[in-house]
Amino acid sequence: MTPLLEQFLSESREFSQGIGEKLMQMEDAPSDQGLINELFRLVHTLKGNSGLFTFPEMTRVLHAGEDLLGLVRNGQIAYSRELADCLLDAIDFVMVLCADIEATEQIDASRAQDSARMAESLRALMPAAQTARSVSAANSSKPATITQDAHSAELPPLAELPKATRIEALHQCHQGETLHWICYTPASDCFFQGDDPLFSARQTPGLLWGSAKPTEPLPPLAELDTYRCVLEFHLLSAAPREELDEHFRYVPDQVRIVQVNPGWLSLSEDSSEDSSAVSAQPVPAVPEGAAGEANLISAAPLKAAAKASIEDCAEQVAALESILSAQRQILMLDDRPDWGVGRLKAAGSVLLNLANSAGDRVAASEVEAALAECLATGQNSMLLLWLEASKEHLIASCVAQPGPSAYPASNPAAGPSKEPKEGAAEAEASLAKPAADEGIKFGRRAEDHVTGPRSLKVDQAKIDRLMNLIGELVVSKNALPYLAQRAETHYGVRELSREIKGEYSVINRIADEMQDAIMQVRMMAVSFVFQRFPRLVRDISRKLGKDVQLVLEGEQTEADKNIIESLADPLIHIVRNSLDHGLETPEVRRACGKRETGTLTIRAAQEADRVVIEITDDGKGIDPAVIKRKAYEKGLIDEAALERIDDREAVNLIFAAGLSTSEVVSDLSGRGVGMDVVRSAVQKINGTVVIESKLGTGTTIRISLPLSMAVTQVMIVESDGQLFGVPMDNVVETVRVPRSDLRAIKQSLTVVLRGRIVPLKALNTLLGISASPRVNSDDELAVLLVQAGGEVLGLLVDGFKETIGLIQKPLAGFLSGLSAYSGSALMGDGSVLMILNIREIV
Amino acid sequence: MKRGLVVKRILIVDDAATVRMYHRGILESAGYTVDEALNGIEALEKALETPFDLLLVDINMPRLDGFGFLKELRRQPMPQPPAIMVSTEAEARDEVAAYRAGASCYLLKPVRPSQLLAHARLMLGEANK
Repeated sequence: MTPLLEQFLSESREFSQGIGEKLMQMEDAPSDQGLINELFRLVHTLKGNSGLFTFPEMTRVLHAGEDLLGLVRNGQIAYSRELADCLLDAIDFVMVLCADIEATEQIDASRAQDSARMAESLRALMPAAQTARSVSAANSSKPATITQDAHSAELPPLAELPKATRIEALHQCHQGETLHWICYTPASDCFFQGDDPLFSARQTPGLLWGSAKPTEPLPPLAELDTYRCVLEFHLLSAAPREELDEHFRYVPDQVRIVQVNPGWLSLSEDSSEDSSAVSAQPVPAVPEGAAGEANLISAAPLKAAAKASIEDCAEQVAALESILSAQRQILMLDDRPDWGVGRLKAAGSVLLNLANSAGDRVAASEVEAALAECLATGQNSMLLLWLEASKEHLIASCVAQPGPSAYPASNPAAGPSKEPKEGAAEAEASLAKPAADEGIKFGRRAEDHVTGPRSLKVDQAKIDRLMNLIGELVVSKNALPYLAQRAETHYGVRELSREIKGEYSVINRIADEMQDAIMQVRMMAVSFVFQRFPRLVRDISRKLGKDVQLVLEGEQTEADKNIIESLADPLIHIVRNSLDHGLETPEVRRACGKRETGTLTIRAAQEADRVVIEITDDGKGIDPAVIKRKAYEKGLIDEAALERIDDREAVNLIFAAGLSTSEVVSDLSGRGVGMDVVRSAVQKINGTVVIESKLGTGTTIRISLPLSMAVTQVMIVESDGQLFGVPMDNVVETVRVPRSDLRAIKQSLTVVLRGRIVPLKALNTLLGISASPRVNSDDELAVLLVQAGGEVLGLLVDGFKETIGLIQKPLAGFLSGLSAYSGSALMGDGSVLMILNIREIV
Repeated sequence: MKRGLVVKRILIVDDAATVRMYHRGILESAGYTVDEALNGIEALEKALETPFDLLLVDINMPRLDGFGFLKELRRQPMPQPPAIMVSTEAEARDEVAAYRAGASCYLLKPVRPSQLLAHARLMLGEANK
């Protein structure tokens, strides 16, 4: 993929997103002129970009969108929801096309019809008069063609025939042959019928001559629908009528066959002499457009420079003519704005450079004189006079001078940037060199000055690599304290040990800062996820016939990229649920005495080292009784629990797997598999989710997430001489319990801590280690209180070690089957620490 | 530079990065030095800081559009470089408005590479180099 195409795709996405956002904002402020202008500009620019490539499907839709917005901008039609719907669809379609292009560098052939349909539905929103104008010449020329057809029904346009063919045909007629004139106009959708008109035409039996031409003026390439046939074939055949009828038997309605009267051939003899140019053209060449050249962007100018060809010369003459005509219009402007002098100077610069281009020193000095006089008198007439007088001469010298010519190299005033400084000294050859040198420096300096963008787009993989590297650095760094210890205990060099420790503290600080900095790079604002909600809420609420206002707060709150990314799905699910089951229809709300428009608030905020996201709706809330009953019916809770749990706990049962509360399954929030999926997704990134609901007033779902998953805080515990890590998220507290305090209730070990019965389990037993927990000298057991799934439980271990931050690596290969561990990490001494998955083992 | 000439500097003023890249590619391959501005304000800042030999200006831009930029530039007491106005708006109204604002000629997007180079060369006085 060329860099230009990549740039195009990335900008298209950006703009499409911008257009979507602006359209959403328009919903609240439909008459905001600034917004409309901005919206128009985005669509306009996007269309302009697409025109650089051969993506007619995209250009067509965007063109229609631009026209539509142009009318809105000029107040000719009012903004409406219907209009926004249509534009949003169009933008979605553009995104689909971008995906096509990204995958295959071209647009899937099947999109042409969608594109036409999309453009049509946009145009359908325009007043009839505008549509007629916008649909352009393509249709307006149709009536003309028809009348021509009617006319030619009497007499085929034999004048088209080149002279030689006509004479040959006449000859055959005189020999008694019957000739037929065939006008074959393939249906515009013939390509979809499996027809190959060109092939059919060429295979016409007894074909003497044939031509093809468009039935209507071809639109600009960007708008050309290549799947629509707009050609008409004129054929002259010596085959008998039956054979021709047989040949065109599938398309009789598209063919008109006329027997040629020899008189017609001789009649038209003098009408056209040099029509051979017409006959030779089988199919009009695709108009040469920028689109065709765009792909060759780097090659094209070089090629153009290399061949001082006729084409180039023609291009140059065309450019010269257009520039001259523009200068004439500029000089004839009769307004006198305060920038008029500058405008005049610019026209002077242009004319001077045209004269220089022609290599005409005399003309150049004439321009300078004329300009000086114009500036002195404030009248444009002198330049205008010069222009009128020299026009022909300039064009002639432009044509006469292809190839290298005496470029006024000694004239440093050629460029306007030089003009002020050295206009007088232009004859001084000695000045030319320093001036040039200065110019070179000047040029370089200017290049150095090119200001790059202030933010960089970096490939995610690069940041991930940095993250991995810093992880390894942290681990290697942790080896230093071990080394210091060894220096002291093993080699007995206390001094060295101290020095190592000193160095370690420096490296430690730098590594910490570095880690922090890299984490900052990975931080993303939650707006990445939030930005899709305005559209989502709008579409869904309209589908459900509900009126919902979305409020977003704290969009700038940041968290690690992984956290933000894995937040998207759960959030969408929650929002859908709220819209579907939480918020009521306007009628119901009115009956309840609520405002008809429901409010859905999504709020993000940072609390200590966690990001908290709250989704609040003012809907009907969740009825704990219903949940309890459902949970009981589905066997999720037993009868005792049914009696015991309070409303708050009941509402949180919504997160249990297999609980669907909605009476009717809708296509929006799925089949009630929702909330348990949400919970597991949130837990996967070490988050928690709780729900609060008040029947009749609304529901709040609160998701709490760590700021970053990169570094896990782990407490190291010892069991049977081995070390294990326990994530600090699970650790409640560490206590030492005298062995005598242990109680056995129904074969399970418990202890009473602060008036609460805590079940105890030995880590050794859980991991299948046969050794029994060790007690210390005071006959106490080490108990690590952990929290797993809302339950607090005591783990009997042999001893507690320090708490460290480490980078957890998931288990790979064979080990990935070990659900008792959530991962492993490298310790400073090179050993591997297994990190326990508390939820799994208890 | 080869012939002791100053390399001509062209400023592309366009809010669309794709269009800037497209124009830049064409002009740079012809040996010109190119700078870019994303809107009228930025263009004005750059043009006032260091003079350019040619401007390539889009109409529809945020903050300050092509018309506004040219009018402001033409007010400045300084040498006035030619300006090619490039836009997709095909209406004649825009063409005259462009001249009124101080454009030197008007090209419709998408500009063909050879067309752009022909205009640029002529306006820079180097067409027959």
